[in-house]
Amino acid sequence: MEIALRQRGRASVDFLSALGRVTSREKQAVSRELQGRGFALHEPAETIGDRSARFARAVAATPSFDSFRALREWSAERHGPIAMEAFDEVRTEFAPALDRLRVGPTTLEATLGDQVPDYYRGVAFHRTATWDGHDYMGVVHGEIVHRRMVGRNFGGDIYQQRRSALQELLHTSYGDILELGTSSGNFTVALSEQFPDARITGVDLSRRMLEQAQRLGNERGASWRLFQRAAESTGFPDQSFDLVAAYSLGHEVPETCMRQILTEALRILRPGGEFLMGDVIPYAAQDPLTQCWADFDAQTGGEPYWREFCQLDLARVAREQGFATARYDFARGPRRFPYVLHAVKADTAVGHVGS
Amino acid sequence: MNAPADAEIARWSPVVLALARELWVIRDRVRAMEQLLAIQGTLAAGAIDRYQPTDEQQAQLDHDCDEFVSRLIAEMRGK
Repeated sequence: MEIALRQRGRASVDFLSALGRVTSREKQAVSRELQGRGFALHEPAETIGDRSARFARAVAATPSFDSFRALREWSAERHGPIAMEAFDEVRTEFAPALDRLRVGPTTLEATLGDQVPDYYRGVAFHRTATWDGHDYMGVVHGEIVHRRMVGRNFGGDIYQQRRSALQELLHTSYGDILELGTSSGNFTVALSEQFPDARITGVDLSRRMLEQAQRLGNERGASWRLFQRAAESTGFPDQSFDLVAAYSLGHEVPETCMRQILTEALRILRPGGEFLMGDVIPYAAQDPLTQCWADFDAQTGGEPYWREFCQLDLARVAREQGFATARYDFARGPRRFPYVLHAVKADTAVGHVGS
Repeated sequence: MNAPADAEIARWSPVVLALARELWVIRDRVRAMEQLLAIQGTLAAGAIDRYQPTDEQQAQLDHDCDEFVSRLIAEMRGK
């Protein structure tokens, strides 16, 4: 549902979008100054943490850093409250229709309450707020922050990336699909469009995000089953899905949890079933300067698990967890985003699954 | 709070408050204008709040906003 904002909220969101574009240019200026000063991107035997600290000190000494930091910090601190305020201005107008969209063929079982894992509890991801920090947080995040603020500076449909990740899959149809980390439902939409006959189930820890996914499902007349459950502990029976998929989940959880997610996926996949996950680009696949900035942004931008995720070789981890084959690479297409893990469970019926 | 921070706050507070006063004067003036236009039948009540720019208008707004922020940053950097 399109949320038409009032003038104050709309202009404020526009202002934040402009700050995002100008901040990117300021970052490029800092990078040029850094390179002009001969910053060494490689030091022998340096850890990611040491390099990141050295990079942070070096950028802080560049002439453009103060303005870059002022823009970035203000945006990071204020984008969440401004998005919530923009929604609250139109709440009375849109809440009845949003509430009606909770009713329909897409069901939601939200019984987890406060029984959420420690890695999730109270973490203000992206410095926006917690995923449940507003009673319409799914709308605020999905429709205002993601679509209007982030998406506008992304040069096209931000949700297209989700569809490009699906190109790795082996089959043109699947019976039972489980999505891990459903969030506000935009990858669920992509799955649903690509596989219209599939029975789609989704899990997420955030009730508010799932409520928005439920609205998207009902808006499309889809019969998704949504559950407030952890991706690493779904509670579904062994061998109950043909495809387990996730988008932008891995970098939001600790490494130990990522390994548990792969173990859980292997358990609930049928023989020959596939695991697909699109996410941010690992450090090993980035040039050194991009890697330094990515780590700097993560450390200062409310991404507590980004660094450990970006150091993982997920193909190796997936094989260690028991998948028969695993490929971890850029998505096909000109944008080279996201990075995609595609792993296949051994088909015991035939003894082997080819890559 | 340490002394240098106090000094910085003391230096910038009057500037921020002076700007806030001017901003409020402009908000009051825009509100008065909207109400007068509504009373005279030129503008429907709430029309500005509900106004949604076309794609072309939005592109122009984005361009203007970029320039506005860029000028602000140039001042911060002393250029």
